[in-house]
Amino acid sequence: MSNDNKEAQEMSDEMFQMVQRRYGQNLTKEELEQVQKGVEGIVSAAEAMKAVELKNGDEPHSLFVPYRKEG
Amino acid sequence: MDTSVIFMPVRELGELLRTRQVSPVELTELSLERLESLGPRYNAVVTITRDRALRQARIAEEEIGASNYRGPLHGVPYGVKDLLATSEGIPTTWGATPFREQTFDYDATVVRKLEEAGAVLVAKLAMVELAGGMGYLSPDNTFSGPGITPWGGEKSWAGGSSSGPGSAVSAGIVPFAIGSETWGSILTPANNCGIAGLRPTYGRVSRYGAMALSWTLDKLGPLCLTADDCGLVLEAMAGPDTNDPTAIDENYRYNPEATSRRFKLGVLKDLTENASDGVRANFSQALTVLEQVADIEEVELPDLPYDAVTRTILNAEFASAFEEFLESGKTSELASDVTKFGAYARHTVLAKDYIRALRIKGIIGRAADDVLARYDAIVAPSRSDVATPIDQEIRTIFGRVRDTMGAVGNVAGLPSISVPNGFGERGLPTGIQFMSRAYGEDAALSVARSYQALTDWHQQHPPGLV
Repeated sequence: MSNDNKEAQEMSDEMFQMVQRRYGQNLTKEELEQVQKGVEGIVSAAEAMKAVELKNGDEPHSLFVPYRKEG
Repeated sequence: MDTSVIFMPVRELGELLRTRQVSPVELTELSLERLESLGPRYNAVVTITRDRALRQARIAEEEIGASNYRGPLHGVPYGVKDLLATSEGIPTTWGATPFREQTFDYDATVVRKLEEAGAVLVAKLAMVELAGGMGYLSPDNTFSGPGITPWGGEKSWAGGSSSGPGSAVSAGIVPFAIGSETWGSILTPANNCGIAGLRPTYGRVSRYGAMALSWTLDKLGPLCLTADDCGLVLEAMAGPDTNDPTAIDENYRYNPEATSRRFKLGVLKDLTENASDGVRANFSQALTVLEQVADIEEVELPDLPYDAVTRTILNAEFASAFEEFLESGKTSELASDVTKFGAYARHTVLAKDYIRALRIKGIIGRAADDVLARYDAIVAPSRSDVATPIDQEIRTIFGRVRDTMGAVGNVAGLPSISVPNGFGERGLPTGIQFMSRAYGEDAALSVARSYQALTDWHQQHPPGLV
């Protein structure tokens, strides 16, 4: 296992433990296993995004419109 | 009533209504009758809005009789996916048991606009619970039962999450319907049900009154029998709305005129390598047909993590949109076992990763536009396989290939239309999609119309329904 993979697995385990602490009482062992796979997928997506080199000026592409009530 | 109006495109129906050869009330009654007789066969319907429909139809009849004609949708019945708010005590269930009694005291902007166009709301149509935002593995994922396509000898999935709009149009129950797409929810049912489905540019259509799954990905669009009808309906749905700040500040005027020049189309490299045999054969045949009207060349998108970005945004926004619901414990009331716990993992998306996804989203938008600006459309199979049998897991089929077109198109907010291009495995329909640059609906529609002028797949309908 490479250092990157090991780090991602540790991150995934820690995040899963957080979910387990918070919601574990509502979930069966099998369901928790599925949640763990879901967490691994989320960490994996985050790792995949790290491959994109971002410049400081690459802003989030989301709309923000300052609010002013009509009138 | 003369049953020749069943499976008649909106444009033709509208002309018969305008010239008073067809009565809006009789047409609405026919649709209501088919909702009751055929709707349950496909698990397509949640609520029939009979009283409202007949009232709107009578108004349309009076107005058209008085030569006060509103346009091509005047007097035409339609249904909406049950995630659009409707007033008058009509439930808006979001396809989920915990929300079955939910009502609103206002109409979604799209419903209001279609009423202003004279269209007649006959039903709230079935959908995957919470539009699939909790994740799902099988077609049996909503209290109204698995959505079933009218095509094929064995029961197969209508597609999701706009399952009811797909099957109701395909079965000739309603001439058109409104669906929503966050990632695949219009194009998939269009593919599985053998009809046309248009995902408009993000912001083209107001989302006010629609269930929010992902604020930056959700779009509303029409499902119809033809590409031309999609243009007609989109014109009525689109436009500015002060209730939705993401709705763009311009109306959409559909241009149905045929172009005299040859189209220029791009095809993504290696796109069909994991598609089913039927999908690959039909796509290849469709490209041969399109060569009559288009120059086609292979194209590559830059290597970017399209799926990861789209999924991260969807996961983070859904987790926020439904935080209270997830905390409430009511997920145990959902129909699908997977959806009961599927979203808990999404609490782990880090803020920095969500922001990173939004930053890459900008890069993807520019990269996609660089490529799309060179073409009228990029063309691709709508899905890599035909509809899943309703007793099989969806992921076993959907998971075979990455959905690059869907990920790019949805994260960059690009319009795409799917139209039928033949039949594949088990006699089920396949689709071809045309995706254009932002605000390029007319280009995508123009290519799709030309394709439909050269083929008759859209004129074929499930047997035994007239």
